[in-house]
Amino acid sequence: MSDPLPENPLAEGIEVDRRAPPGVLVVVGASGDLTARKLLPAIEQLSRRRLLPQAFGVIGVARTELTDDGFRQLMTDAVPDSGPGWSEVVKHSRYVTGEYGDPVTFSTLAETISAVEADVGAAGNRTFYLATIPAVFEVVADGLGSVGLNRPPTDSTAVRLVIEKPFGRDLGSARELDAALHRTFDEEQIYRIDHYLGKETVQNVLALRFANAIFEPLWNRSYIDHVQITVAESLGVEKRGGFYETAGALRDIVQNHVMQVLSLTLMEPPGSIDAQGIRDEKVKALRSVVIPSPDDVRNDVVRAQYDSGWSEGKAVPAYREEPDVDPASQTETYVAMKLMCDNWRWAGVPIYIRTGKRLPKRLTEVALQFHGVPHLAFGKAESRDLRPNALVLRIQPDEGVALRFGAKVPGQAFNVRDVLMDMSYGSAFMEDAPEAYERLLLDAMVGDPTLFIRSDEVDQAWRVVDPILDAWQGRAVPLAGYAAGTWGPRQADQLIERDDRQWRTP
Amino acid sequence: MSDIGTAEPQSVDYWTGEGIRLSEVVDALADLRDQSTDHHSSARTAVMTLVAVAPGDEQAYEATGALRSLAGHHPSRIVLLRPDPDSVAHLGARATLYALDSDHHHRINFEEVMLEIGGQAARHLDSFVEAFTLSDLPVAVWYVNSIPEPSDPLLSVATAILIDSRDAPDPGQLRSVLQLARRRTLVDLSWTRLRPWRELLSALFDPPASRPWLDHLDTVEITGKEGPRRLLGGWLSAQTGVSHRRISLQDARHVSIRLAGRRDGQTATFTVERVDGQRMIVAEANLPDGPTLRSTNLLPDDPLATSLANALTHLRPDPIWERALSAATALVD
Repeated sequence: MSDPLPENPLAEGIEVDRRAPPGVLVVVGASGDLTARKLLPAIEQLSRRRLLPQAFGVIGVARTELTDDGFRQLMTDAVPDSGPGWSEVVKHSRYVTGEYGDPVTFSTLAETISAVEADVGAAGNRTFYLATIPAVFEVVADGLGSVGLNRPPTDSTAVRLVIEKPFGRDLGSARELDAALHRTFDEEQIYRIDHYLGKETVQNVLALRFANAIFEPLWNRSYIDHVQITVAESLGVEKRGGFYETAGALRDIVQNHVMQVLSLTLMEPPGSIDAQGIRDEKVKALRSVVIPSPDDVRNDVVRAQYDSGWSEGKAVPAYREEPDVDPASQTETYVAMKLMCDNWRWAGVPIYIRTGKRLPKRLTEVALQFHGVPHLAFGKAESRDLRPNALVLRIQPDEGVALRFGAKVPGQAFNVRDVLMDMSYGSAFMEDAPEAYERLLLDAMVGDPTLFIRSDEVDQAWRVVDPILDAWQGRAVPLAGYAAGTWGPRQADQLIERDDRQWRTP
Repeated sequence: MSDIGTAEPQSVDYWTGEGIRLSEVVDALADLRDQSTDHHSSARTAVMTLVAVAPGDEQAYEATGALRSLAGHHPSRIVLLRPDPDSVAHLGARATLYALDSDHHHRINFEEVMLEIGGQAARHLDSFVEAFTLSDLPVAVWYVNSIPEPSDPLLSVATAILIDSRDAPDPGQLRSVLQLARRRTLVDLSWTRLRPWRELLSALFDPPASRPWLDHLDTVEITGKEGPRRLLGGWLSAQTGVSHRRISLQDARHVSIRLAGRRDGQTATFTVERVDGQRMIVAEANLPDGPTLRSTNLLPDDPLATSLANALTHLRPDPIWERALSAATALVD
């Protein structure tokens, strides 16, 4: 093992802490859609923003037969309006064709990595990005381990494995996947991507909560009546019918995106905004979520599937009429649920969650509904338009924060009504935030796991979702229907109205 | 370092006055804002008050163009001061409301106040600025093409002062800037503008194969205008410890850096140069028996607005710049 490299004195003060160190990025599944659509444009953006090292190479691995030049052409085609640095990145790229179960694939990969490192002057920092179906995660990790690519060549370099959701289909399979990956990679080397966490506005939840003294004192059961989390999509399953049939809204959205937003909303202030501080608190928050009993699932969870209807001015088919979908499918495209969190801060505060496809609009938001005033001194007629305060964190689109509060209507009478103070990030800063993949790819290469999901977070998220899946398997919860283009089934309204509350109309 | 977008703010409404009192400008600005609200203009979001001191017409034109283009990055109230202490006492003003529409259907509204100040009052600009500063937000004061006197009362209003060390290129002037920097938060636009060169050069030494050469630099050649080349020389001297006598500074239109290292009878070269006729710089390292490292980067289309935008992102003292400036005062051409 060599001595650690001394600091680069010329880097001091240039804020190069976000620039990736010299190294190679190996994309397994390089001929696939994710690589062309997301990863290569993200790498190009990093190159354009001068956040890639000069000693940098990309290696593609996939079953599709391609030459090095063929892969370079694929890289060029994926980014039609590339900046001047992209040709340098493309020039140093290589491609390995092979089956993931074939040891030769990985011995060839090891040789190719050495060749690229010698070519560009990289020292052994290696990031393996598995842009493949989850079914091959284990075999690829084993393949990398079989030729020693799971370990860095020197003390001053690092090897990281990036994997995409879904992380298992349930708690058992998630743990099996973890055990399989941990045979070859340490937990610190594994970077689980949920691209939601790469969104600037999800990170802004942390900024809003922990950079402002005015919100945190109100962020608890004493002031908050309930929380509503909405993740709505206006699209149907499009061309992903085959995949969606095996997933459903609970696995596709709730287990990961919703649980991440939920944990950021419920977590305690971390000691420091770093990977361990944030992830420890997120895990603690998820651990406090009450595991739904079979009765809870029957009463507090609604599953539904969209029927035909009208969406954004167009007649759209029912889910069961979508391509690659079973005409008798029982897969849910909508979930609404009530969760409770048993801890000092949130005891007794219901958290209402709803997510679905073919809802009236695409949006993600967290709404904190505050208690009403203890005594409303205004007459009923004067305050009929007044509702309790609400703080809404809009995550997408039109990212921002809105606060609803009462104000006097100008005039002789003392009428009060709601007004919305609405701050839009887009009207404060027009700078384009980095795309989620760009941010997360750089974080993985830099070695910052803050925005990646730790094994115990995955475990805790499944712990909440698993009992719901179990109950559904027993068909204890009927599948409701809702017309495409509406906010969900009547049963979802009843779920919240039972508690004398209502869904927001975002 | 982000580039500035191309969206042009549009004037929504304006007011002008000559031979007026300051309170009339304040009232006129408030009226303009009220009227724009009547027309359902978007709410204003601001992050600072931006003050520019630009006595000459050309300076004022250049400054306002650059400042307006910052609205998407640093939504601010702009106060342009045009002092003329040698003329008769008078106050002229123009207050303008601007709107900048983004591609995403967002609108940023901002105000610009231009004050022409004649007579002795022009030596007390702080008394004009205070009426327009946004409450509780930083005040950045940009001295366009000049370096302020340490006794300038406007300095007391400023959270940070923007200057360009290109306007104070010789060692004596640089020492004055350094003195000022020790008392106030100074941000140097030259330093910000040179960042692409510094970044690219620094990155050439990231790979383990090239890092050891930093301890064996034999010659350092820097070309460019006097201020920038001196500043880069000071930076390299301060950060690497390379002796002043090994640093050669030469006049040229564009900045370039050429380093040569020698050890064990071998030579390695590291260069960062601008491509002739293009807004592009190329960095290259040639190591004996090693790979050639090469990378290219585009320079911003609007260097003034881009360097301003980046300078305003970091309104705090920069000890690396101060060290570079200090070392630069000891360098000779």
